Amino acid sequence: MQINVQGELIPVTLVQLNPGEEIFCEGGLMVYSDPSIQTSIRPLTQGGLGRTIRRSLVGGIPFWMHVFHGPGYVAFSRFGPGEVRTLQLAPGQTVDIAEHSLILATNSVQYDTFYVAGTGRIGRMVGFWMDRLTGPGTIVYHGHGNILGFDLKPGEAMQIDHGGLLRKDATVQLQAFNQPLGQGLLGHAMSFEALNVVGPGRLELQTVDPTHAAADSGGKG
Amino acid sequence: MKADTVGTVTPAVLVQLSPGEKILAAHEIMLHMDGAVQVHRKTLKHLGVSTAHLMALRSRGDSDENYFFAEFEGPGNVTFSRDKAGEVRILQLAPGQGIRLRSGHLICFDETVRYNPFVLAQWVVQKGNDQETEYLFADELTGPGTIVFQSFGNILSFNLQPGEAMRTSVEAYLSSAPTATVNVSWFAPMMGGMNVSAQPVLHLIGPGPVMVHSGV
Repeated sequence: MQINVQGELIPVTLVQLNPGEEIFCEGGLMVYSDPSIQTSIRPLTQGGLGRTIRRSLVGGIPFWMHVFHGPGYVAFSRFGPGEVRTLQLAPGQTVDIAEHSLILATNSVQYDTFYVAGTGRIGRMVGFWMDRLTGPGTIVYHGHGNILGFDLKPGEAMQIDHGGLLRKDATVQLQAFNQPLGQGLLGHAMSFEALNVVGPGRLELQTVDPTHAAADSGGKG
Repeated sequence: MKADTVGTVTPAVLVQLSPGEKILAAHEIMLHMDGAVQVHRKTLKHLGVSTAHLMALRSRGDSDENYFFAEFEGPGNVTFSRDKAGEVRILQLAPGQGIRLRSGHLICFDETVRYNPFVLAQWVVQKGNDQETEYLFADELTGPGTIVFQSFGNILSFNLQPGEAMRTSVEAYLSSAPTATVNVSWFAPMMGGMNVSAQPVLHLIGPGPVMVHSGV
């Protein structure tokens, strides 16, 4: 399999699949493909019925993943300005990717999702989903805007906007919190939500919040 | 006309018009113009598009085809922008040479270019208990003259040989030569013989150049 990223503005990921090779992704990402590419779907049922319903109906995570079978070429895009990164996962290596940022993964990659709880304050963040990917295999993901990378030492902490989170190692811990703006009742009333991130592990941020980008363009996030 | 691209991320197009030179564009995408430039209204009827044809397009609901273009007459400079991140292409069409361009991407064209909006593809989708027809509108432009258009995102170009085929998503289609055939097929992943989450895709068959773009 060969993966090439084309274009700099809204990059396209072009994958050349050999006979027998397979990749999977969310539906709606294909830009163009060779007619020789065969397709199938794969349901996401990890965690049983209850978790599947919660994930698909409440979380908006697709129930079906599209699988593309070689031989042939197929190109994908997340349809937003940004950067595309390719990552080779070693056997057992696990990374977490923000929802709707994964472009594709090879079929050997184990796919799951998990929920990052919010602080539960009324009218504020209620949490979000992340994709959990475990090697061996290759994954490709899209960062909206530019990607900023950090290597956190054990216990090293950062506070980040939840829309800025793109990728983290499974060893990096996340916790939502309220950041008051000043003292007293007014300070708490005007607080904003953020994430406390604690190492060790790799952390990548994106400079555009995809939910804001989708709202601005009226298009896909 | 002499056209140049200004900027890279959300490019504008600077057109320099000689005295008496005329170009056509949608009026709402003008960014600025010199005071010397005159603006006239040019109805599609003047461009050879019949009222019946235009009404038929408008009746299909999703068409945002204008009833007229703004005609900019030199001397002077005019700048246009589609307010979207993408690439601008300036194309010289030889006499009789044509291109089919997805609707909503044309920026401007010489008055010598023949313009014809039409339905490039249509398909039926099931929405609840109802069936709705969806359309892909395109502009067919035929030389001689210069046309300027913009993609959303990056442009990927292909030159299909006779009989050579490729698939694109409906959103990714940008342009094709009139010699290339565009058919709608269904991207229908199968699971155990059951067809779910089918979506329309375009099946392009050469010969001719084809462009797709990476944005929406």
